[in-house]
Amino acid sequence: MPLDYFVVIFALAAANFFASVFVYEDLRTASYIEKVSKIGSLSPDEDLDILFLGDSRSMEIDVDQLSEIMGSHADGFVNASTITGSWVTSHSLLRKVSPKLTEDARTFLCVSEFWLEKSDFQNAAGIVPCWQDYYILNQPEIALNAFFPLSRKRGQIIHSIHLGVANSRVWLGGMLKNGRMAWEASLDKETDRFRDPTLMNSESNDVSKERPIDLGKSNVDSWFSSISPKQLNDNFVFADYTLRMMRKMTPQLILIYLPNAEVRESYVDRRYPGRKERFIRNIEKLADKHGLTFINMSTESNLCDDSLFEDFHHWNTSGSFQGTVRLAQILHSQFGD
Amino acid sequence: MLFNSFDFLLFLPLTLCFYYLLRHRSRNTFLLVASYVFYGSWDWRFLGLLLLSTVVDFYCGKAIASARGSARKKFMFLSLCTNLSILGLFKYYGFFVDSFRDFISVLGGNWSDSTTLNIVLPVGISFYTFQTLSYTIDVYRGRLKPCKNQIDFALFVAYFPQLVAGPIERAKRLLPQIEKQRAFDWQIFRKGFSLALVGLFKKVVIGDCISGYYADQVFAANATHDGGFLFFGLCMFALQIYADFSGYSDIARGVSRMFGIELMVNFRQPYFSRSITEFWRRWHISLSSWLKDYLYVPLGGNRQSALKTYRNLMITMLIGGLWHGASWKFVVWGGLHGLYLVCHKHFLSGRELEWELRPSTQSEWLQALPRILATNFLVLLAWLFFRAESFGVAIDFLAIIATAIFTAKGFLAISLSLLFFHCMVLVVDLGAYLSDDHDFMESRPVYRRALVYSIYAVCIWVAWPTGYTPFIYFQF
Repeated sequence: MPLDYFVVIFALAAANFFASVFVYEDLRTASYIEKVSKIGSLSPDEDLDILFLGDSRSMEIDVDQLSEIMGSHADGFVNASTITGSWVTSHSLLRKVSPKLTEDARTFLCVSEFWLEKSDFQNAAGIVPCWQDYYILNQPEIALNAFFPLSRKRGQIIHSIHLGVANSRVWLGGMLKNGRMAWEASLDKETDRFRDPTLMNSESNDVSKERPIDLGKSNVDSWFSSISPKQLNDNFVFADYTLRMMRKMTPQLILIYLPNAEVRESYVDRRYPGRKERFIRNIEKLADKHGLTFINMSTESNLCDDSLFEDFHHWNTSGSFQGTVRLAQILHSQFGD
Repeated sequence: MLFNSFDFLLFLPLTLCFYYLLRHRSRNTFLLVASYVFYGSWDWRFLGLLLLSTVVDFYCGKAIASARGSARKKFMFLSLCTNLSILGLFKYYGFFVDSFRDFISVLGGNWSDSTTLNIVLPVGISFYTFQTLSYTIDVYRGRLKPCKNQIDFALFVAYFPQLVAGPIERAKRLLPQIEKQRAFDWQIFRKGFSLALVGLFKKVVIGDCISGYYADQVFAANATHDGGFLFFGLCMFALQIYADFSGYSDIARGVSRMFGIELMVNFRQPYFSRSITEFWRRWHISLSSWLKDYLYVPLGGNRQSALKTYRNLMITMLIGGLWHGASWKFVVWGGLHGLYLVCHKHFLSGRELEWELRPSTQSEWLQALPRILATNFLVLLAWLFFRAESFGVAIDFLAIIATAIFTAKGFLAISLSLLFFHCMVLVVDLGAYLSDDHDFMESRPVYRRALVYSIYAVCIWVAWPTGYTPFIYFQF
């Protein structure tokens, strides 16, 4: 092989090294890495009775409080939910923790709509460094991307470049006293719809009137981006396969759907009619197929009150307390724990 | 299967390995099977059309060569009818039915929708139909001997590097290369690899970035944009379509070289053209030369009166426009270029265009620059019709641009973005333009090659698409 191609290979290796060392991890990956390290730090003789997997909504479940209510030792309860958690991150964390699960340990998998209703989610959410899990779950292309730092951090690199370009444009625009580019401002309006209550008012007549002013943050529109029947089916097939693989590692798998703020529910009903119902139906179908229990906590109206949420999805301290207490009651009534 | 996809990254090395392990005759058979797998990965049902076209033209070619008198015409007619019927049905049926319905409604009539068929356009149909048509026409004209081997001919029609978006090869060039024995040549192989790398850079780094961040956004929501932004989007689209299509052609040529087959050059840095005639000698050369040889010249070319020459130019360009897509906006695009060519022909008044002489001195560049800018402006204007969703939208855009081109906020900022991508295209193209050699990098010192290829490779890796990002010309 000639020298120039050797240099190219060297440059690619160096770029990967550079990306692995100097490019920051996104929130999702950082959260995943933190949970991996938390699992890794568990003492070897420590057994787990209760494990929570899921996304940032289930991160709000207080396992210390839960263990206290249930009269168990807190060490046996672990919440391994991650920010923008998904089937893959849950599978990966379960794979790492499964040797520590006791025979009758219960694993709660907290599902969110974007796990089934969002197209191309595995790519769009960002690739986490768990190439083995992508491979096990029949995603060889993403597995390859997860293996190489330059591929895995592609999103952050492009985002940084784009941000740099946009900032330089703002700077140049400011120099000319013309402000930002008009189309950029219009794009911001799209993404900031939920950060600014006044913008939302124009989209949906009465939602913002109902919504407390501090319920600002939400990515609900991205959860319900348009999806084709084929993509929907692909997501279902992927979920089906992932559940089958997870069942092998933890026989007592329980699916759980946590409540959202009432204002969010009414917004989704109005803006995306039928989407949430379809999601619930599909989760029920999956639960039936695999013989799993499905706990739908969104039907608990007292847990959906807006005052219990810090934003559209996430419980505040009070919500977390009440939700955890209710969960303990459900566990007791359904499983006698 | 796209060139810029994970599937192709697996498909190509595997195909190359098996290909070079086989003997000559088996190589062609293997390459044919690989080509059918490549095409079938989009939709295996359309392989039937490809096979139909192949079988009809193979036997028509043989029959034309052996027949005498009017029988030759009958077989030529059969080949033409088959290919144009396939093209007409799958590409233009809906367009003509819709246009006829609109025409009837303009006259106050009403026509039922029941005749409309929702037919999916087979990938690359316009390319392989024109390619196989050129074969039978050349055999009919006695310029080519018919192919004797079915496998070789089928490979000529379905050869995967150029099957779905060209270059539209001529049988006279491609068939002899397919028929002859090909030995592995490292120098040619590496030239092919380098060309494919440059092509990928153009497509993935320049074309897709412009498309994702600029052109598509500007054209997606025109309502909020003023003239300056639309003009900016239009300039971006001009760069995007060039990077996208010439990138595809470079990858096709590069990949083909790796198999030991040289495909024709499809682009010669068209945005350096100093006239519209020169532009068409540099842009999509395989199509423009096809139209010239099989349409313009048979119509009479420039051998008759000036008026007839202009008529022939207009017909050729209108059909060239329609070839791109079943829509009036493409017809208008072709018509505009036809008009430009007619004007330029009139301006030349019989003089030969010395388009191949490139400016070399400073004064020559100073003379050429205004002409280059004027040519690009005309081309840009025509791109508006090509890119807009419809003819009506294009007219609206044109009105906005014409009335308010200097009202864009942050005009300098926009210009800098544009300049950045212009520079990227320039960096890739200038060396090739000045040396008139697409492989000019190969003659540069090894350290320079290493640096340039490393930058290309890292940029491609970073910008590699995670979703489906097809080439623009796949729709044709």
